[in-house]
Formats: sequence, C-alpha cells, structure tokens
Amino acid sequence: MMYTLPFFPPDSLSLFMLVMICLLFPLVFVYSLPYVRRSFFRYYSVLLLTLVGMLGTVLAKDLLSFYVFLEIMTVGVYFLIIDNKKKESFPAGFKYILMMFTGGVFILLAALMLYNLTGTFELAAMAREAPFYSRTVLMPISTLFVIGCLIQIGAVPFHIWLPDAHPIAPSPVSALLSGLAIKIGAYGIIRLIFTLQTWDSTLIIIGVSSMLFGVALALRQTDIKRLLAYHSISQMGYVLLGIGAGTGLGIGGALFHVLNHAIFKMLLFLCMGAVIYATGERELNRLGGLGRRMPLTLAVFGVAALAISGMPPLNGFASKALLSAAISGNLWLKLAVILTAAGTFASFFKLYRYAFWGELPEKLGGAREVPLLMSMPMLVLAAACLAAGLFSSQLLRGLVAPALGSKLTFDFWNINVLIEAVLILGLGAGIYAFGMKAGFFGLRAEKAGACPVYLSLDRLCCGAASLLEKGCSAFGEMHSRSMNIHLFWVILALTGLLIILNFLMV
Amino acid sequence: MINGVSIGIIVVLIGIYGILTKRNLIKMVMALYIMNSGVILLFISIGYVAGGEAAIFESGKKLMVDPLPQAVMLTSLVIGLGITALALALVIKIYDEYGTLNASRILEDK
Amino acid sequence: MTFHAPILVIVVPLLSAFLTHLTKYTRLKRGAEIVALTSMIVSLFFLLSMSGPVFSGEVLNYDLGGWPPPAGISLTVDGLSFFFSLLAVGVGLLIIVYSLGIYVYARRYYSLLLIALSGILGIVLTRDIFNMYVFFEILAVASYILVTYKHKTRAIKASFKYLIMSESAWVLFLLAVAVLYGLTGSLNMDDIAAQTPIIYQTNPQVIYLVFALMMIAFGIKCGMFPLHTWIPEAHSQAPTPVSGLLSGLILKVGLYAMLRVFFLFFGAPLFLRGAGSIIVYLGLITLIVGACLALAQEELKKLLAFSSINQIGFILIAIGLGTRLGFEGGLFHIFNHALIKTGLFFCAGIIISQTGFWKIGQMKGVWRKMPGLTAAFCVLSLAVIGIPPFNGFFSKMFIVEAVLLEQNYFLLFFVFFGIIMTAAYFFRVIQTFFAQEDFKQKPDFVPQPVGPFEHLSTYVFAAFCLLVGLFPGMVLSLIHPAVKVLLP
Repeated sequence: MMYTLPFFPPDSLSLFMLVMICLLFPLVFVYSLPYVRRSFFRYYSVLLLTLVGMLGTVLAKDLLSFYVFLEIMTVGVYFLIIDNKKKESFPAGFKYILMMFTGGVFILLAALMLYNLTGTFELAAMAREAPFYSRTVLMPISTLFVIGCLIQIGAVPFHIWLPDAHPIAPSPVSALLSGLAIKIGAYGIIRLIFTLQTWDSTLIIIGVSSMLFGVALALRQTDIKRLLAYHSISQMGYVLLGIGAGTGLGIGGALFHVLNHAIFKMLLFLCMGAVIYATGERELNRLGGLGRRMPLTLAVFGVAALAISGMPPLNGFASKALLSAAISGNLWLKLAVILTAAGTFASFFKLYRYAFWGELPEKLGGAREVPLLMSMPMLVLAAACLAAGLFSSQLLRGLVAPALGSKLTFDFWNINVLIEAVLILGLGAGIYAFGMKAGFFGLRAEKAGACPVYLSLDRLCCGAASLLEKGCSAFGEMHSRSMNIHLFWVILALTGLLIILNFLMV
Repeated sequence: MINGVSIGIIVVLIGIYGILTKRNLIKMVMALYIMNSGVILLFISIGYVAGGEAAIFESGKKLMVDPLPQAVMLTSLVIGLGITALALALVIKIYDEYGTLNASRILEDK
Repeated sequence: MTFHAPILVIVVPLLSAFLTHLTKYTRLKRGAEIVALTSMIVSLFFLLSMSGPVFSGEVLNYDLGGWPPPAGISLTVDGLSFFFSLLAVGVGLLIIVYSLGIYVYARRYYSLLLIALSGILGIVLTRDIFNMYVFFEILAVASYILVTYKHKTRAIKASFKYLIMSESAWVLFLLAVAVLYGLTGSLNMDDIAAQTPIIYQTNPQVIYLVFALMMIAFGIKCGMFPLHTWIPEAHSQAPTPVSGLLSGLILKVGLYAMLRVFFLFFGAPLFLRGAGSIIVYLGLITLIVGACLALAQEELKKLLAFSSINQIGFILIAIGLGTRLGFEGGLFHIFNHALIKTGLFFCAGIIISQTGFWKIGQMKGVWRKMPGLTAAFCVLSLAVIGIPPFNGFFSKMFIVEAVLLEQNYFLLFFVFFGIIMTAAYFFRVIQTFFAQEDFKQKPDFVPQPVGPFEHLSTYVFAAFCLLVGLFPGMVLSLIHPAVKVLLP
C-alpha cells in the first residue's frame, strides 16, 4: 500500500489552482514583512511549510498524497493561527485543528474505501474504473470525502471554526486562510466529483444555506475581521452552489469565483490589516473617518467591496454572472443569489460608513497610511480585480475552460448584467437602511433592537466538548484508591474471560 | 482425590483469597507467596509418577519421577524468594513513611 | 559468530550488569556508563550479525548447551523475535544515552537497566515457555527497583502496587505453564503448538483456562483494560529514562508475548472462534479508557502514561483482527509508539527538571525557554496523533484500513474517536506550552542542569519519527518477516 509522489505534469485543473496560489502567495509574503515584526524565523518557516502543503495538495495525483499534504497544510496553518499567542488564539486554534483533523480523517477514510474498491489511490486510474461501479457504491464514499472537504471549506453546518480562526490570526494569515486555504476544499470536491462522476445537487442546498447564513451573520458583526470571515462563508456558498449545479456553466462559475474570491477576499483582509496596523482597533464602534488619513486603503477597499458585491466591471460580477446563468431556471435560487449579493453590499456599505466615513475619534489621531511593503500587494490585488473583470472572457477561455476540459464561452457584457447590478445596489441600500432603522447591526449609533436568537451551532459543539471533558474528569475521579480493588479487577478479569470463553465458544 | 495437584490448587485459591481481602500489606505479600507456593506444589505434583523413585541416574532404576518440573521449580522458588524479599523491602519503606500497614489508609495520590 | 549470536545477545548485557559493579575498583569515573554503552553496542552487533539469514526467511535455532528440547532450552530467531529484539536494543541504547546526562546515575542503576534489557532480549528470543517466564520475572524485578530509584514515596507506593498486581498475575501464568506441561509433557513452544490442536478437540476447557490465565499475565504487562491500573502511577513516578523503558519497551514485550503465544500456540482453531474478537473488544475499551482519562489529566507524565494505554488499545484492536494488514499495522505501531513515547517521556523529563512543575497548567510558555524541545514535543505528538509525514501516520493508516476491511463500522467509529481524542489531549498540552505568559518558577527552585545527552536522545527520537515517516519502507522490510511468521 505504499505510494510514490506523482506530481508532474499537472493537468489543467491543478494548473489553475497552481497559478492562483503561486501568484497570490508572494503578496502575503511581502505584506507580512512589516506586519509581523517579531518571530521572523518561526513565522516564515511555518508560512513556507503551509505553502508546501498547499502546493502538494493541488498537484497531487493520488488521494493519499492529497491527504498527506492537506494535513501538512493544516498543521502549518495551526501554527500560523496561534502565532499571535493571544489568549483567544488558543481556543480558536484548538477548534480549528480538531475540526480539520476530523475532516482529514473523513477524507482518509474515503480514500481508503476507494482504495479497497479500485485497488489504487491514483485519480487517473480511479477515473477509468469509476464507470464500472454503481452509484450506490460510490455515493457514500463520495459523500464522506465531500463532507471532509466541506469542513475544510467552512460551509454550513461545518463552519464553526471559521469565524474564530480567521479573525484571530494575524492579518496576512487571515488573508492566506480566507484567500487560499479554504479553496483547497473546493478543489478537492471538484477533483473527486470529476473523477468519480458523482454529481449531486445536495451541494446546492449547502451552498445556499452558507450564502444566506454567512451574509445574515456578517451583517450583525462589528469586528471587522469577523465580518470578513462570515463573508468568506457566504462566498464559498456561491462556489458550492456552482458545483452543485453540475453544468459546465456552474462549475466554471465556481472555479472562476474561487479565483475571484481569492483576489478580493485577500485584498479585503489586507485592507483590514492595514486598518489594524494603523489604529490597533478592530471594533467598528471605535473606528471612523479613516478615509481621509488612509486614502490608498480607502480606494482599494472600495474596489474590493464593489468586487465582492458583484459590480461590473470588477471581477466579482463575472463569476456571479456565470453562476446566475447556471441556475437560471430556478426562481428560488435566483432570489437567494440576489438577496445574498444585496446583503453583501449592505454589509460592506456599513463597513465603509463606520470605518472610513465620518469623524476620526481622537484616539486614532496617529493613524497614517501604511508602509509601501503593505500597500504594494494591496494595489496589485486591486489591479487584479479590475483586470480579471475587464478580461473576464479571456480568462474564461484561457484558464477556466481548460480546467474543466470543455469549451466554455459566455457573453459577459450584456444588458442583464447591468440590470442585476442596479437591482443589487438598490436592494442593498434598502437592506442597509432597514437594518439601521431596526437596530439590526448592533452598532452603537442605533437604538438597541431585538434580534431573533438563533441556535448557535458553535455553542452546541463547544457545549458538547466541555461536557465530554467534564465526563472524563469525573471518570478519572472515580478511580479507586485502595489496592485491593485493583487486584479484584485482575481476578474479575480472569473469571470474566473464563466465562466468556466457555460460553462464547460453545 | 487428595493429591498434590488438588492441594496445590487449593493453596493457590487461598492465596487469591488473601490478595483480594487482606488490607495489611504484609499479609498481601504473604498471600502472594502462598500463591507462588501453591503453584510450585502443583507443578511438582504433575511430574509425579506413582511408584517412581528420585530422579538420579543409577543403574537398575526403572521408574523415575519426572525431574523436569523439579529443576524448573527450583528456579521458580528462587524467583519467588527474590520477589518476596523485594516486596517486603518496599513494605518497610512504606511503613517508614506512613507509620501504618493498612492499605486503605495509605491512599494513592491522584 | 552467527552460531552463538542468539545467546550472546542476551548474555552480554547480563554479564555487563555485573561488570558495572566491578568498575568500582577501577579508577574510571564513569566506568559504569562506559560498560553499559559498550555492552549494548556489542549486543547490537551480535543481533545485526543475524540479520542476513533472518531477512531471507530462515529461522535460526540455537539450543543452549547443545541440549535439544524438551530437555533443553532453545532460542530461536525468526522475523518476529528479530523485530522486537532490534527495537529493544535500539531504544535501550538511547535510554542509556539519556541516562548519561548530567544527573549521575550510580552503578546500581546501570546494572539494573542492563538486567532489564537482557530480560527483554531473553523474552523475545526464547522458545521455551518457562524460560520466558523466568526472563519476564528478571525484567519485572529490575523494573520494580528502577521505578523506585529516586526513593520518592509515591514511587514506592506505585512500585508496590505494580509488584503485587504483576506478580499475582504471573503466578497464575506459572499455573498455566504447569497445566500445559501436564498435558503435553514439554516446555518448548513448538512442541506445545503441535499438540494444542489435538487437546483442543478433546478438552477445550483446559485450553480456555490456559488462554485466560496467560491473557491476564500478558494483559497486565501490556496494559489491557482492566489490568492497566498500575500504569499511570508507575510510569509517571519513575525516573525519566525508566519511564521510557516502561512505556517504550515493557508494554511492547507484553504484546510480543501475546503475539507469540496466542498466534502460535493456539493457531487457527481457537482464534477463528473468537479469541481474537475478545482481544479486539478489550482493546476497544482500553482505547476509550485511555483516551478519556488522558484528557482528564493534569500531570504531564500521567497524561503520557494514559496516552500509552490509549495507543496500546489501537494496537490490540489491530492485532486482534488477525488479518495481515492488522498485524502489519499493529507491529508498525508498536515500533512507532516505542520511539515516540520514549521520546515524549524524555521531553517531559527535561521540561520537568527545568521548570520544577509536574502539572501541565503550570508549564505555560515553555517554548520561550526551550524552543528546540517544544519543537521536538510538537513533532512527537503530531507523530503519535497520526499526522503525515511522520511515522504514526502510516501505522494509524494501516490500522484504519485493517478495520475498514473488516467492515466493522462500530469499531471504525471508536478508532476515529481515539484519533481525535489523541489530538485533543496533545494539543491541550501544546497550547499551554505556547502560551504567552511565562511559567512562574518557585523561588527556591534550582533547575536541574540538563546536558547534551538528554537533548541528544530526544532529538534523535524526533528525527527518527520524521525519517521513518518519510521512508517507511525500511521498517516495513523489518515487519514483513515478522508478519510472515504470524501468518504463514
């Protein structure tokens, strides 16, 4: 059951992810230089380890290598998350690593089951064998694998680790996480579904719930990075929607959105990192008026916010257009998409209003624009947003379509797109106004409003975990202290064995 | 019927009873040694051949008791002795610390 | 040389144990250490000289004094024995290296250690069941004394409990040997193995009795539930190299005995009828108990001891399945766990001697004072959890695959639970090590100086984890002959 590490040559899907990682990773690297001033050696070595893990995952030609490098990446990311050594980073990291290991074991189990079925770990060989197996056999294995990958993505209902882990990490690491690390799960799902041909539309449901849930909770956030983390959940919902749709347009849209989200989410986290670097604040309640002091950051933030809301001619609209076209038949899905986009716009407008507009509090008087090493990556990413939007059809033809192995063309520049954009703007403004009125946003400026209490999955999981821990402690206390009891157990075991053997075997 | 084997088994059972119920550390060690003795008795009795003589080679002897268990049990006796000596040494050390030999008063630490 | 190699492997450490006391009369300051090291290296040399024939599948037979069984004792080196003896000599060597550190252990310590190691080698190389009992007792006596080496009250209590529990079980083992001798007339394992199937046809209850008695004895040594209760105190109170010896080697030797006796004596008839599943389910309970209690521990060394129990549970499940993959996974995990757990105990020992704290909660921020050691601890814990690219990944994967092939999803769930719990309790410790605050040392505490030897042995273990993880083929080539012995 030994495996070699087959990597070359990467096929188009791997190449797509490879290009994305290789172009975006150096930006995180450069940005970290002024941001992470202490622990130089440790931080960068772990960062490079994470890079190795990511590259290995997307280049792997068999499932076992995929799992191996995924775990390497997970360990690297864990040590990056706790790099701050703040008190909150440890519970967040703990939650992260436990959930990632669980997901990893699911992936390993699926890989082993496929090995038992087909006799190989290699994806190419599996693709050849897959048509001979019935769907009922492949589906459970595929589901197991997909669940493992969904945990990696942070989709609902496996998103518990994301809102804690992404914010608490240093900002370049958050950018890395939201930008690249969660995409690996999406890559895994696409890769497996391609290999086994087990398309299933349940992913649409997961995608839609992620989209709506992410946006709804993002609207409530006042911590700028936590807000972005919830938006990551929401945007990955789009990707899952596309994969679930199953058509060329859908998966193409999903892949394209993976790329676009990487670009603008990284940009958003880097902007917020700039804000934190300049002011040391993460709470929207205590920020304001930074637009005048940090015009560069404001400009790129504007680009990113419009991109994530799906405004042409930035990149977001292109992938969203593809996805909308993929689900064009279903009215409910269309509604969900529009609602999410509008909510996204509202949320970012709120962020803009309370961080960059308005008055500068006196405490933040020293806020200044960030150094060049930090603004350079941001500018590059903003330019990429614009470029990916303007040259979307070329990108589609050149990068996305070969990854899918099909000829995909799409007419991005038609009137429907403009109509949708205006609709989103309008609806978003409406949501914003309504939210401000109803006090939904939890900001100091409005009256405190009632908000429906939702059953937090996070609280459920943490509660279960602490219950387990208390149970274990109680169990430990139960251990007897008298020596005779221990010997009693020995003799009891002996008699028990004798009885069992006599009755079991007969 | 009463032969070495059954007595051996009874002695072992006495030893087990002692280990399970006695609280005094020295009595526990004694019970352990009793168990050991019981097994040794059992083993030697297994090698018993009715009407056999001592297993020393001499001309003219026809029926001999099986010598292998005896040799093996010599080793076992010595081992039992060593273990008991060690156990008693530990008991002395424990007594120095706690002043009592009652196992339930010498509670374990958590 | 090959002719006498088996006995020399055992006898050299034994003789050196006595030689270490004679170094009192030489003027060498560290004479005992030199003797100990040299003897283990010589033993290793003899062992490796036998490696050629063993790898090609031959079984080397050596009758002591030329007396053939059943009158004499025979030593046999086949794949299984070779695997365990190599493990014992390798880890034993590193334990001696650790002991060479700044804390000067007396001659007594080295002689006891060598006696223990020769006992282990005797157990794995012998083919006579009473001889195995004798060597187990040799090992046991040495370990009882070694546990109390630093004369702490808790250690003495722990050793007493260990003694009473272990000895009562082994007396029962002697009873089983007596029964077997009465039935078969021989003490040689091969002879008994030939006759057991016949006895089983006519009188299965006797075989059950013998099996149960032996299971208790081996279970105590290897830490099977419910016989594991001596382990936490004994492993945590012993001095650090002795903890390594206990967790790393002595637990494994109980597993060796289980493998040798059960799979060779009782072969197909008993096993296919469910003795294997008894081992599997006892292993399952052991796994759960070890994992849950490890999570609840406050003391670092006790946590490591319970983690040992946890991992033994994994191994028992793998071995009890009786399939080829199960044996491979179990044996590989025995190898890996010996390396990892000894390394972890060494890390813990160094940290405890430097900080003066036993409880995990007090060891905050250790990484700042001892970064290399924390890194080694992280590497070793990732290895034991089963993360690639470390060695634990392969053994865990084999075990999971073995369970998967049996299609026992109940078992699979608990194996999975065990892996996650291992991650949980180890990451709890790692978190505390990386905390922001520094540990507050007690004001009158003088940290015991830790020299290069302690660090060296720890880093060697960590490096081995990585090495075996990257090139598992080396160890697998050791395991294949062993598995061939178990499943011809």
